[in-house]
Amino acid sequence: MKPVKEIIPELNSVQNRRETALDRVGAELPSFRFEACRPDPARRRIGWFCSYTPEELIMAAGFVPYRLGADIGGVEDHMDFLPPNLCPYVRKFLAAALAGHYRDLAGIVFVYSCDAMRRLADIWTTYDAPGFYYCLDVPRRSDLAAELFLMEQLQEFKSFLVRQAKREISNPDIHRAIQTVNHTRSLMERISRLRRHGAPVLQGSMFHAIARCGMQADKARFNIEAEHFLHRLESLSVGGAKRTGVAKPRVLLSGCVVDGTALPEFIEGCGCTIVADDHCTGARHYSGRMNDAMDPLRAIAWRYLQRPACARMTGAAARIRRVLSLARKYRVDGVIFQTLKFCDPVQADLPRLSETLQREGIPLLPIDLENSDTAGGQIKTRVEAFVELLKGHEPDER
Amino acid sequence: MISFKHIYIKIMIHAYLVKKHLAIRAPLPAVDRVGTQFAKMLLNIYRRRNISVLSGFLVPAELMHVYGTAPMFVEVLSAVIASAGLGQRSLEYAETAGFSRDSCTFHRTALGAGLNGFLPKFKLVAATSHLCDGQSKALEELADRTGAPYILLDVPQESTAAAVNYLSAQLAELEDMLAALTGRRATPSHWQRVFSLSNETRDLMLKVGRLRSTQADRFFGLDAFNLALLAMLTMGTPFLRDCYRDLQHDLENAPVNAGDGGARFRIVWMLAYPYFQGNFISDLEDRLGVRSVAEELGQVYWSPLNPERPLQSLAVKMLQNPNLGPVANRVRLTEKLVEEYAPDGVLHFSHWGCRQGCGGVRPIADAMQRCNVPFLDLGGDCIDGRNYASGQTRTRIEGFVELMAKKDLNEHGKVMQPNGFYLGVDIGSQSAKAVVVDAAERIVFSTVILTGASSRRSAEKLKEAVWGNSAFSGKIRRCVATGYGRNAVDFADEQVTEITCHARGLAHQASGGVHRIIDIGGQDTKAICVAQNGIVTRFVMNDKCAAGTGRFLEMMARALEIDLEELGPLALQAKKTVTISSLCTVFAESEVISLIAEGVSSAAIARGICDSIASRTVSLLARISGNGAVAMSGGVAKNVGVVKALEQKLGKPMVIPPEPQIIGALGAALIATQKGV
Repeated sequence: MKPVKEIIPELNSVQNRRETALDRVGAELPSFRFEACRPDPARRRIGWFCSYTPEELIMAAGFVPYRLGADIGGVEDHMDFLPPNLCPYVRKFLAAALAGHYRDLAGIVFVYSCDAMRRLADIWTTYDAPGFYYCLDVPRRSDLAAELFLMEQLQEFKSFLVRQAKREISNPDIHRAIQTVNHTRSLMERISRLRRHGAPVLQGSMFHAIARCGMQADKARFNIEAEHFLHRLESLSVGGAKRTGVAKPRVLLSGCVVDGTALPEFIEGCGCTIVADDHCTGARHYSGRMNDAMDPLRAIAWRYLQRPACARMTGAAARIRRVLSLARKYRVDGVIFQTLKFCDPVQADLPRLSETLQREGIPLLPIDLENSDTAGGQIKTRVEAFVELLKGHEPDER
Repeated sequence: MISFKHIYIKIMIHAYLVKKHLAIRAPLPAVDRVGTQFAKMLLNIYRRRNISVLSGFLVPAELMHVYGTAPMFVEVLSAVIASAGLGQRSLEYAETAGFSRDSCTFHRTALGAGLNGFLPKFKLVAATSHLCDGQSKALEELADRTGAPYILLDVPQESTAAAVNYLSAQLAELEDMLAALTGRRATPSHWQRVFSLSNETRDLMLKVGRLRSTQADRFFGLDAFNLALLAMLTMGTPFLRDCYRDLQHDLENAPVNAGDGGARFRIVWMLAYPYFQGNFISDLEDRLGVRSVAEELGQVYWSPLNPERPLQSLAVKMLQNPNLGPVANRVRLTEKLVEEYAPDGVLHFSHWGCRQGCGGVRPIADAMQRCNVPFLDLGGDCIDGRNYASGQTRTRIEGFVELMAKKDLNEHGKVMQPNGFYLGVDIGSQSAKAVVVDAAERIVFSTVILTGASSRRSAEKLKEAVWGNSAFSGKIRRCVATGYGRNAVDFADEQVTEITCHARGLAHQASGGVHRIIDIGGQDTKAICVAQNGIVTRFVMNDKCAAGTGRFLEMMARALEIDLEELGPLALQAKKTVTISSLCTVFAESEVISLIAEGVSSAAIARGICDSIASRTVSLLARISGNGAVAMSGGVAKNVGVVKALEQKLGKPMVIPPEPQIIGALGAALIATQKGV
């Protein structure tokens, strides 16, 4: 049996980064014990990418759903299965997978979500498929016909999982999983709200690390730790003990998938605080609960189609409404819209978003990244200049 | 309100129609009707009383014709705009509005034209999610900005009963919208009429497809592609049925291989055709005689339609599209076309913005290698001519032609003059090389000079150097030119691409036999797979940018403020390396400057630069399969830093000839020794 640290290297790096995130905030803030959330090493993991993967079904089948990151180092030599004009996150993931990371997964679930994911599934299934794989089709519409179609897809996925797990999946199994994930979602919403208070009780990068942990952890254990964490942190913020320090500009981070915690750390390292986010790997992943009184597959289908949608699922108008409402709710000073090169759906929303935010008087910084988890010096200058702009061009507040 | 932009467009279309009409007085042959029909349909969308519908090219046209609307595809609009030379203007308009330059130009061009006020106000906009994310986003944007109603047909990736039900329900919604717009509801007899025309046309398309395999001189390439596009737009109309019927008649009654007789190679064309002005199609079709006899786009993949269940039937047709689902469907289609048409090669035009198309190239290329069919992955953009690299494109298509010709370039005993000398000239982007060999293939002379600003002038200089040498002056029997400037060598008897020449040259220099060749030149990198005796079996070239080329090294050396020659030895001194992550040469340069500012040692940066080139090169090499000996040619092979980094990544030493720079010219000289190549 491999030690957990080897199985989930990301948790180690998150753990290592935690100190740096907290150092900036202040001393005796409670910590989130990531290590307490790790799944039992004996349990089999199923990797997933897309926020539309029904984690509930995977859990009901007895597997641990595990979000796949690409920020763990691949070998560039393997990048040529996919062309250079395709999503850098997908290309990096493939390189990492071909370099032997993720060999210990029981299987992978692809969602036919975007072009890049479909092409990744192609390469995976044509050339290299350790463990099993499944391609799930998720509709782009959200009406009744789409819901019924998704239910059919979920039914098929469920049958597939039954075959892989070699056990039946009962409705109570799914119900239990729904309840657990619903609980995770409400805890994450509470943790996310803590970012609202202004003073940096909870850094955006720390929130991001917790959000990521929730996508890779044993959810039952995560829920227990999240409750402890909330209990400790809420008492702090109610008491106002930590409302000290210089108020940093409040930023909303929106756009493409954020792979790992490097990008939020980088952005906050430029002198602002991410108080809200709107992307696949942040708070949006946890928004919208399932109705556990419904037929379970129906409840799952309904939740995935009714929750705040990503750029693949809806047009610019709906996306802009969402960004605006978050910007107002969290009283942000500016919006950073991060796109990955060649991400057509997200990039297509940018022109109108930029017009709308300009009308609303909300500053916007678009950044286009070549790499899903790093940003170079040129981007740093841009983010720092944006933070200076948000501060109202004051040379030094301190 | 009168729009002057609309009037301008309408006048242009009328002028085109009049010109066409005057040029051909007799009834138009089927092929010539395509352009006029596109023009008429364009005029129709500007007529206010028409129910104009803008859609993606896979919205079933039968539904539009049942309701008597004026349909237009966004992709056709963009192609027409590009053919009329207005592509750049529209693209720039869209880019100024903030739309990404990396998005598909088939959508961005029409979007730009629409934002700029050149398009009419459509009564309805419809998109499908079939093939890509870009189309629906662009059309929704256009609809929103012009206040037109919008519908997305969400097409599932696999054809199942649930998928048919889901899609039929959406088609019913589209039908309701059309009924509301036109004020009438289609009756069974409407469906009957349109579907029987569609089915009849389908049969004719199959027949024409079969005839085309023997008639590569009469109906091919762009004409065929345009008709296939028009067919999707006019499916279910008498016009299209008649068009195919007449075409079938023309092809059946023409003697076998009638036409201009220019077809030398018959190919299958995958993905789209280029439309921007000044593209390479006439070069490919007329000069090189490469004719496409089948296109991915024009294939009949659907079953006949059933008017009893019209919407289900259309849903099934949409779901049968081989571009849906896993790439295995496209691979199967390519294999089927290869089997049916027995082409000399398969060309995949990888349109830059097409994730679906470009993303599937590798499995298709591998399948073609298994079938032993020459394959060319040609990168470019169908609409946007701004980044068109004519030199690179020419090298690739000529390399492809050489591959298809399957010339045995190593056959001995074909030397024309036993006492003569043979000259090879390689005009690269950075340096120009000349090599003279004697009849026994021994190198008797070689020289390398800088190319400078003019390929022609450097060719002249090389000529002076060779002709001025008394040892073989007047005894040069043949000359072959290669490299980017090969067409500037007036005194050459023949031009051959550097791909073939490098393979030939290395086969001569490497005694143990070479399986794969890396050639890093001044402006591009090539990976070539060779069989015995230096015959090319497969090749790939870096495209899109200069990263990882000799030019890249030169710019990085400049950033480090050292001479190019110093870079390699400096890299060897490094105890550790740094990562240069930028894909782009310009950004990599700024990355290097930041590293210098951070105080990282020049040696470590130099090594990082060499590692970065090595990574890129090895990944290019990975695209041509095989694991035999690797040789390296080109000027960069003289850089010890790059060579070491490459050998480390490959895990084995490479074969490096003593003078890697002259390999191309040597190959050219060796080819010159052969008769009638």
